[in-house]
Amino acid sequence: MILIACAALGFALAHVESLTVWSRPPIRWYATVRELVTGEIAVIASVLTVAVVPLRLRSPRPRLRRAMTQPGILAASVVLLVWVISAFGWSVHLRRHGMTWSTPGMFGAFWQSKSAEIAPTVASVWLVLVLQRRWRPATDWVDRYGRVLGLVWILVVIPWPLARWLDLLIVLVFGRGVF
Amino acid sequence: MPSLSRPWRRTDSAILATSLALGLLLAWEWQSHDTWDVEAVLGLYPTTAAVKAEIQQLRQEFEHNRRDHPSMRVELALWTSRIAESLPQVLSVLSLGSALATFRRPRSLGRRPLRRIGVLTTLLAAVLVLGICINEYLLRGVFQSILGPYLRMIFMFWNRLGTTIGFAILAAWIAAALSGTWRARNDAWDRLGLAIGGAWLLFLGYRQFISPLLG
Repeated sequence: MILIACAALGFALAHVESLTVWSRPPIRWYATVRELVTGEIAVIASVLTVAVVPLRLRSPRPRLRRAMTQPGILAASVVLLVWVISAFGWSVHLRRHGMTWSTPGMFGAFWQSKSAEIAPTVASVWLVLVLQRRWRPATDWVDRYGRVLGLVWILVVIPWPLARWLDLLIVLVFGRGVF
Repeated sequence: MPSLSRPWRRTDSAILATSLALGLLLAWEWQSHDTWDVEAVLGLYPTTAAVKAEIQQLRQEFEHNRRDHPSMRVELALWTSRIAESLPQVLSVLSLGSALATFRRPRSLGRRPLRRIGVLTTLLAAVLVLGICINEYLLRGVFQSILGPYLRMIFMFWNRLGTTIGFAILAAWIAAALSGTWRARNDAWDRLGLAIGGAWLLFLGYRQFISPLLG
């Protein structure tokens, strides 16, 4: 139920994001794929990652100290943390300029400017776990699911600043004027 | 396992003072020069002339507006942003200097010191600064050599770097506190790391909450 609800929310947000992306002039398919990955797919992945937090809070749940050494729940908590802080800051920004979240293009602009921080933060807390020798994954599916999504953030969604190497590769393969 | 038991020495103070001076110099250079010139100094060609001209025009309009309608609030916001936006440059060099002072010989880098939150913060900040800066330099260089003028706003670079490091340190601190691994010793190395981490968080707070308020 939690996963279905989060998937629905993710798709709804991705739809709002896509309104911004698709309103631009048509671009070639590989550029579209890149925008899909960093746009819609990343939005859905972020909400599905956050779903790990309520899933972990259901009983039987580990103690907080134990849970914070599990890479899956840690990745989900980090995504939630970045989301909450960035969204609060963005709300202040919108209020200052007399706009709201429902203003067309606002969620897309928020996502484009703030999503880049998620992946380096997930990578950093995982690095900290490894350096402190506290990497203690649980054997259940919830933590495994969180780990897979954390890995998706680092490898597939390709965080800033690595995303631009992909841009370079695309430009080299398909020629200039792609983006 | 080796531990960080080396006392604070004059060389450490010299490293920190030098890194602070270099950081301030970098921030001053950045504030007093056009960012396009900074790219040229680095051997990277500036971005397209059209973008440069557009930004120049926006700046001129802002200056005219500021002269015609002087406002205490605008001046305050300008000075706050000037100081706050110099922070990533100062902190980047200071983080590298702190890491050099903390992990230099005669003490080898073992794993046990990394259980201490201040030392860990120093390492995390230095790794991120190095990684992001080297990546940016290489990326710009490769783009420039292969594709010619590279359209990417370099003045956004320090803000993004500061926000990324701020989030990483915040997440690492929260995770350490909640997992019961927050171990701080009352020595210079830990205090230095905590101070650096606190400064990065201060910048994050400015970017996320104060900057949008000032507009």
